[in-house]
This record gives sequence, structure tokens and C-alpha cells, in this order.
Amino acid sequence: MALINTTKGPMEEELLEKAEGIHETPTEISRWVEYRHEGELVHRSVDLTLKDLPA
Amino acid sequence: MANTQAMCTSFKGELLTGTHNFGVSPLRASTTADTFKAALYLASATVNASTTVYSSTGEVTGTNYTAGGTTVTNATVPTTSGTTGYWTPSASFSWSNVTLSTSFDAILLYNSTQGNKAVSVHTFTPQTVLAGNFTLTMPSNDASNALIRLA
Repeated sequence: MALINTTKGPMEEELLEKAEGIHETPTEISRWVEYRHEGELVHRSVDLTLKDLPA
Repeated sequence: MANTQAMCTSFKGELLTGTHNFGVSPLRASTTADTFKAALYLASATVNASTTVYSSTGEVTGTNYTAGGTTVTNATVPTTSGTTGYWTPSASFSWSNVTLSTSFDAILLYNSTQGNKAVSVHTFTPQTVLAGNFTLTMPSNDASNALIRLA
């Protein structure tokens, strides 16, 4: 059973509602993951890659 | 044969290794690379081309975030390709199990060995992190995409 770090301490993933997505612009691409517990946002992680950097 | 005016490509790469010193400081007695760090800044902060040194003013604060940011992993030798000198950290910048609830949108790369002198500012879409991980994945280390490029 996977445990997710949350603002309420570690919680079992099955108790949470997961949402994830990708946001891309000309200068970056970011992947985010959110977990909610009873409608409250309790976890958000982001993995962001920069691109088209100025020289 | 004809002479052509140009900034030598090798010079661009050598800037990244501190080979050239037009002034009298810093005096380099060490042959090891400087230590660089990366700090996150709030969307309300002002870090830009005019930034000369790391400052905690405007830096993010939050659970498990240490002021000053993270140490950059540097296992990549600066090099050149075409007319561009370039360098990219050899690992992503990452912060684990942090809570950064106020929007942040920039990272300042600075030289902590040389008086925290600023190197570059990189901006992105404002983010928040809640009891989670923030990873800034490095681009490909080539003349077109490297994090630091001198074209």
C-alpha cells in the first residue's frame, strides 16, 4: 500500500483522490501530481523541465 | 589568407573554467571547480539580469526548504560546439517533501565559492508545492539547450 506525504502526515494512497497533468509552454514542460482528501488539497508535487533557454 | 574579427570560441569555454582573469581578483590557488548553488524565488521577488549576488530577500521559505537553496551537482566539464560555449549541471535540482505554499517562479544559480556571485536567473510558470517534491529537470547538455550557454 503506497503512502503519500501529505499536510496531514503520511496517508495511504487509496484514501486520496489523485489528479495529474502536464502543462507545456514554449519555454517549459511541467508535470504535476495532486492528492485531495475529502476535497482538501493535501499534496502537490511538480517536475519541471526548462527549454529554449536564453544564451 | 584573411583575418576575421571574432570573439574566440575557446575563450567562451574557458570563461566557464575560470581560465581568464582580466582583473586582480579572485586569486586562484585551487584547481578544483567552484561550488554552485540554486535558490528558489517567490513570484513577487525581483531577480534578474541586474542581480549580482545571492540574497535571501524574496527567496521562498517553507517546510524542509533550506535558505540558500540546493548545491548543484557538477560532474560535467564545460565545452564548446560551433561558436557556443556551454555547461549544464549533471543532475536535476530537487527538493523533497517540501511545502512552498506561496507561488514561486524563478531560480537563481550562484557561485557560493566566490562570494555568492550570481550566475543566471531562470524563470518558469508560477508553482506551489504542498508536502511534495519539486524537481527542476535539466535540459540536454548541448549547444542549443544547455542551461548556461555563451553564444
